[in-house]
Amino acid sequence: MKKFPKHVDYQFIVRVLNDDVSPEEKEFFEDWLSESDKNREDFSAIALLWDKIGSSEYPPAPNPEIQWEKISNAVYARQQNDIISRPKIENRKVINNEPIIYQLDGYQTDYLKIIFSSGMFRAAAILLIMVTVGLWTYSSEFQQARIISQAQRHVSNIIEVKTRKGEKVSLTLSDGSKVHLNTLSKLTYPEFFDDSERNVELEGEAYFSVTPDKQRPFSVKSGSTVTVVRGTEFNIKNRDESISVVVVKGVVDTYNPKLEEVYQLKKGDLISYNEQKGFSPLQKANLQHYLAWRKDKFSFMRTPLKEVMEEIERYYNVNVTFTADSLKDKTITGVFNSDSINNILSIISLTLDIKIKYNKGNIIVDKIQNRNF
Amino acid sequence: MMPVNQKKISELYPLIKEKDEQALKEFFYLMQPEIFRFLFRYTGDRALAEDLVQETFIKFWLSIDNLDVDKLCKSYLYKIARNLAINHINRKPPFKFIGDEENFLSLLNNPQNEIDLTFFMDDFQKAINTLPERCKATFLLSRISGFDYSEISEIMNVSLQTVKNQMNKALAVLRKRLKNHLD
Repeated sequence: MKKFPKHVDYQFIVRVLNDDVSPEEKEFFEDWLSESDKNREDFSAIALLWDKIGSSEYPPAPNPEIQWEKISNAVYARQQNDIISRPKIENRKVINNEPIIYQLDGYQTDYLKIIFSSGMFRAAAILLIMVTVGLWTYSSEFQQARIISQAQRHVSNIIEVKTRKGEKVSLTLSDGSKVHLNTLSKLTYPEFFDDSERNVELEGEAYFSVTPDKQRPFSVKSGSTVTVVRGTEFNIKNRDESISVVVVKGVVDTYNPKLEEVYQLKKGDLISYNEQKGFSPLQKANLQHYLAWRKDKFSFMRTPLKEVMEEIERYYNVNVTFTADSLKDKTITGVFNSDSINNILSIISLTLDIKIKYNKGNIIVDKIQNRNF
Repeated sequence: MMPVNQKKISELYPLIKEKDEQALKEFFYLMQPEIFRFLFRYTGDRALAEDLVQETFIKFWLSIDNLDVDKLCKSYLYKIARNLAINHINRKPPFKFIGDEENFLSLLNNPQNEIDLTFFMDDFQKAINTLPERCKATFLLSRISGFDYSEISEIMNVSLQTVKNQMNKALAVLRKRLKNHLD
């Protein structure tokens, strides 16, 4: 036996409108309706509201085909990132004398996509685990012997990891050091480090977390600068002829082999280098600003719009055009989440009072035209 | 209002669980319009809603492994959509794109009753924006997405009574604010 409400409330009316009432309830409702004009008015107002709200199909949903394409691409990219950032992956490579080019684009991507889309995903994953476990056992037992034999034969397998637009990759090197490679960057490193030094080369931007090893200094060559450490955490950014090194933990030495000075940086220190002007004096860094990219954020501090847009071009597949040079010098300060380009562009256009058109990979930065002629 | 193709969707569940891409695609085509409408009404921002629809399905796809077989994929999808929307709304002040010419032109070409509806929808959106989050989500799940109260209580993770209270509250506010349109 269902309980009737003491009075007819919205919820009950909604149930009536949805035809979600028993015959007894319906009868009860009709009695209530005929009781007074006010009841009838109440009911018709809610019915009208209910009807209007539910009837609108506006706005039309976006094109599902285009959206599906983006969704499946994003899923593949993220799955691929997961797999590639697993540490032992480099061990899969066959050892030989040729430099190994390991690019995360083109053919490689398609190959992974085929595995995932053909429903062989599970089989491939199991295979991958088996291969990885197999190699791991192999390398832990024979690594010592292998390094010696490599040193004797002077075999050096150079690995190159490149990231595409918007892509970030985490790598673990043979000494256990971790490198987080930002978008559009390249790290070149040997598959195994030798006994006396650990040398890597960087284009673009990366965060390093280096495993301490007093016997083997770790050095990063980036542009004309070299940064040497023994065990620490730091960020190097090398974009547009300007290189900056920021230290998060420990001490590093940064220098240009052609110049005499060596700069020692401690926690929180920043040094910048410009191909024309050389090194600037040591500064204290705003760590959150320099490390924002690791948290998927853009951080700008009085950054000219020109540089802001260059940064955006590094993450998204877009071309930026300015309709006037004066627009390039407007500056932006703020932290943005890098997951929605629409948000970033809207906030910038509102802040600077300019017009930003974004359509099919093209961004046009324009002045706001005077609407009253 | 009966939710679209409930039967068709439940037939897709086992295949979705296996990450069958064709099934995922079909599920997306069936669900995209209503998830979009929910997100659009929730955020009041078309571009943002478009982004969030994509993100919802990406999250859904990537988390299929954690999905309970017995749980309805549909309510799980709405849970993701709502969470994403909450995060976005909290993160940024509301803003609008400058000028929506398309909207304006379509208004000029429409017969009177559709213009009325457009104005009604504008005011409806403004009224929706004033509702507290839970109240708003409850109402939209009911009226825009066609869930019944027990489904809503599952999606929102609240009691049935709370859903009823929120619905009453939402309707009372909307009725008051949309009075002009109801004469």
